[in-house]
Amino acid sequence: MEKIAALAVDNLWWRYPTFSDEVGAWTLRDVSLNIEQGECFGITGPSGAGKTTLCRSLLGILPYTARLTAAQLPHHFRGAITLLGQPVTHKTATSHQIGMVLQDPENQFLRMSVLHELAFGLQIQGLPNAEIVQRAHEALTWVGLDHLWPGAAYLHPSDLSGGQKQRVAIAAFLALRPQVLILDEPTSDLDPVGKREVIETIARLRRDYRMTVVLVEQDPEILAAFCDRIALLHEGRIKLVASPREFYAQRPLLEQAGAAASELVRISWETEQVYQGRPPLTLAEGEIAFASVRMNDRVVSSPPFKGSASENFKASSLRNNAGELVVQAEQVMYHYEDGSPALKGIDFQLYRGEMLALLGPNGSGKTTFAKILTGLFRASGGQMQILGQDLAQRKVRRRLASSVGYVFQNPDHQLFCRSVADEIEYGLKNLDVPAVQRRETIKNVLEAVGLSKQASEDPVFLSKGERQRLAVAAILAMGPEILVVDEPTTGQDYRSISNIMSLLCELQRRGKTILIITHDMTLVAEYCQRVVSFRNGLVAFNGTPAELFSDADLLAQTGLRAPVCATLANQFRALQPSLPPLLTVSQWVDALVCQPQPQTRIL
Amino acid sequence: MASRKIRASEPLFLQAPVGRRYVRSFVFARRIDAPLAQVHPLARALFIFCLSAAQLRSIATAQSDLLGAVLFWLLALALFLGSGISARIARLYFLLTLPTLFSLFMTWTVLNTVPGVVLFRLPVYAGQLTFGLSLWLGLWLLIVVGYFLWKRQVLAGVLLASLLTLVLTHFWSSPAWIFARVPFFHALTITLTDRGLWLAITKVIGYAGMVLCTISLMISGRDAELIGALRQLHFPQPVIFFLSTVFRAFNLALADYETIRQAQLVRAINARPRSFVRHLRDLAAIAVPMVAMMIRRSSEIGDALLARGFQLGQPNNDFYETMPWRGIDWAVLAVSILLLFFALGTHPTLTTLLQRIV
Repeated sequence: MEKIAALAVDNLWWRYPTFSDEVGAWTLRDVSLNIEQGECFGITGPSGAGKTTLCRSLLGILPYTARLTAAQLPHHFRGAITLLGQPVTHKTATSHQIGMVLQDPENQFLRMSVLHELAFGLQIQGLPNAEIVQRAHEALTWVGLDHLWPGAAYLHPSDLSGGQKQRVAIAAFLALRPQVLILDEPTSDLDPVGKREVIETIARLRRDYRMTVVLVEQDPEILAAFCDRIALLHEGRIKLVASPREFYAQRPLLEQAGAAASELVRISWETEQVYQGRPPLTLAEGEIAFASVRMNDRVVSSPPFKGSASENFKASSLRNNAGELVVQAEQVMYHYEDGSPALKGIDFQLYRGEMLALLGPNGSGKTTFAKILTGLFRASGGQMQILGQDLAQRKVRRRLASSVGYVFQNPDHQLFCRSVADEIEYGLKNLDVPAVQRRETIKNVLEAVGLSKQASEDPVFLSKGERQRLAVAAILAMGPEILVVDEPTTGQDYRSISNIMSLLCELQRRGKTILIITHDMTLVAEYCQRVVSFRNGLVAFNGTPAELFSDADLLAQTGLRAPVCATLANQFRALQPSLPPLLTVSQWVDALVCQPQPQTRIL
Repeated sequence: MASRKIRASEPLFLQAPVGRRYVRSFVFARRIDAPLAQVHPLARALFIFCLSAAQLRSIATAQSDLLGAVLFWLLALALFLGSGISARIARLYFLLTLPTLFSLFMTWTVLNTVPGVVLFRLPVYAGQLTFGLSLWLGLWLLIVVGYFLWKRQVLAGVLLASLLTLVLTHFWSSPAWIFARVPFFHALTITLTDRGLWLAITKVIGYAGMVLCTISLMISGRDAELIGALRQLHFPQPVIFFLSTVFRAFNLALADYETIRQAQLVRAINARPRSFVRHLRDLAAIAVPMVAMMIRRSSEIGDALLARGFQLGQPNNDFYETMPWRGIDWAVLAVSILLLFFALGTHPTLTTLLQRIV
């Protein structure tokens, strides 16, 4: 008897209706997939590839909510989708067989308390209250938020951090226990430990309840670790469907599509050192594939830190010893309106010209501190000096925008004008910059961020990556010496991340001081010279990425997780302590390729 | 339900979180154990409705009742204090309400002449428009233009110039050239009488009481309570759900507004003094990201609803949303009926009763 697929997509084509007579381009082109029951199926691809559109089609939201007439439908939708052998119709989404967790937790938090949010779907299903309570509590525990259960009826969405909201959103679906669960980049707002915990929970549930999981994700490590098969979606077409082992062996295809590859895979691609004829996917495989690093005397005696962040750090740390302090915070405290403390006495220094990463688990106080630093919040206690000026003075805070720039996480919150050039000019006008100088600055800044050609375009029509660059440019134009960038890479694809980080590096080279708030440890290892980590409103660590990522106790203390490169190096260093802490792909590549005779190990 | 008195025997999820004193309500937040929150939301709303009606009766122009207004104001103040409002928010409301009540007092005192013993009289308009030129007009213009060049503000300049001109013309008469006098409307005189003053005081106390009542209701209420109350009243499920979504969307819009406003601040909108027009333009600029965010959110909220299995007309059972109707609610209902009698019944005012006794 033929096995019924959890989801089967056959020659699916979809294009969105437009408001004009012009016909839009196809968003999905001839997509065919067969997802088996109990499978964890990954979908990856660059931004705008059609991943979310595909998920909406699988759920039956498209084309049935697009209000197309029977005559219009064939011009926008072709093909067939079945869920557990039944055609997907307008009733599928409400059938309780399938659920979907969206990327932005705010938009799926439909009630005003954690308790009622968790219960919402179960109430719709008409379950008895005792079962709702049991399932809601269980789901909250699964996502690591058991401590929120006491008083869950009093917890408003605004009381939760972004990561906590994301977990509650996931828990609300886990409580429903659908047969098929679609997760559209569900962990983009989570810290590394939280991300892992949530995905591990979903994997466990999948095993326990034989749930089929469709996971849309940019993170290659998550995809490789948890998915049975991965599909590459590019420009609306499925370019590849393969097991992780085969998937990450397809270097040309992945590079052409701009799909992210894990650090281990990138090392393998660069060095051609492989595990069983393919790039290693796990640490254990990496240990075997890259074992030759231990035999390299040159690496062991002198670490090849060519072109790495650590090399910059050496130069930077030399500067820093005699460097100018641009931000000096002493015992900075902040209390929320209800009196609960967000910051409990932060001591912090930022030196001119460095790129510093501000790390910490969700809700540790990073963004609050950054908003104090930029004058948006006023500290409840302590002292903060920026460029020698005391932030306690209202006059200083009002003028701070010209010396400290703050780029928000979501570019859509910070674009106010109807053209790219006007957007740059907005801040300049507020600073009363003369018109001639404004024109010159707009030209230069747009060139710097590569948006000169789009100067007259409406920001609404730019891609997310371009809007992010525009947001940086709009702040940059005001000439701040310090740039605070909040989660610049969240929800972005590999190319967008590379572009935005190249831009920030260029700015650093031009003398800007940059503070990045991020959960991306790979980015920290590759680009940042210093790290300050918060935990529960206090500084848990202040030092270099190498110090942090090479010390397991420090990682446990800060609640962080080292990037794979650093973890692998730590495992080798346990056997051979003279090996330097190799934090980045380029350091590993240098370490592996400078051997007398690089050898490919096929086991 | 969330606002019942906290008991150790209650399930953990209904007990106040450790170390937490406040819970978010319709506006701002209230203390978790606020006395007013222990009353059923329907009883609470009915009580405040009846109290407001009684207050309205006490401030009626034809038969004002100062003693009644004061008593009801005290009752409203007790409600306000029992609403669980934080001291900071209470101070904020006080500061916002004070100018409103002051302007109400001035309006009733100055513009509504009530017959009685005249305490003060000031003619302000002679019943004709005078066209001409005066030295002070030039001075006024000079101050406005000078202030604009200095501070780039028009409104403040006009106010300053008008004030200075009024003061100076009071002490020194300046040369003036009258071209024409055109009769228009009738002469206006500000007249303050003893009964007018009495009525103005009564009105201000009455309105202040109603403001306190409204704030108490808004501060002490939570959306889950409203949903529960509507459910007990057997409102249709789509209406209940629509209201619930409106509250959540409003909450999201507020959060977006706050972030967008912060994004404007980092773009130096407060770096230097701005004219009123510039402030209006700044507010208008907020609309661009607000609309973009709302469109995106509304689409995703729709998806999230569908993904959760929501459809109109589907039964949706109560889940710790409704509050039981208890003894205290019957007591509140009884007081509400008494207040309703004060509002609608045929009886002498409390002030009249006191006067008869005295």
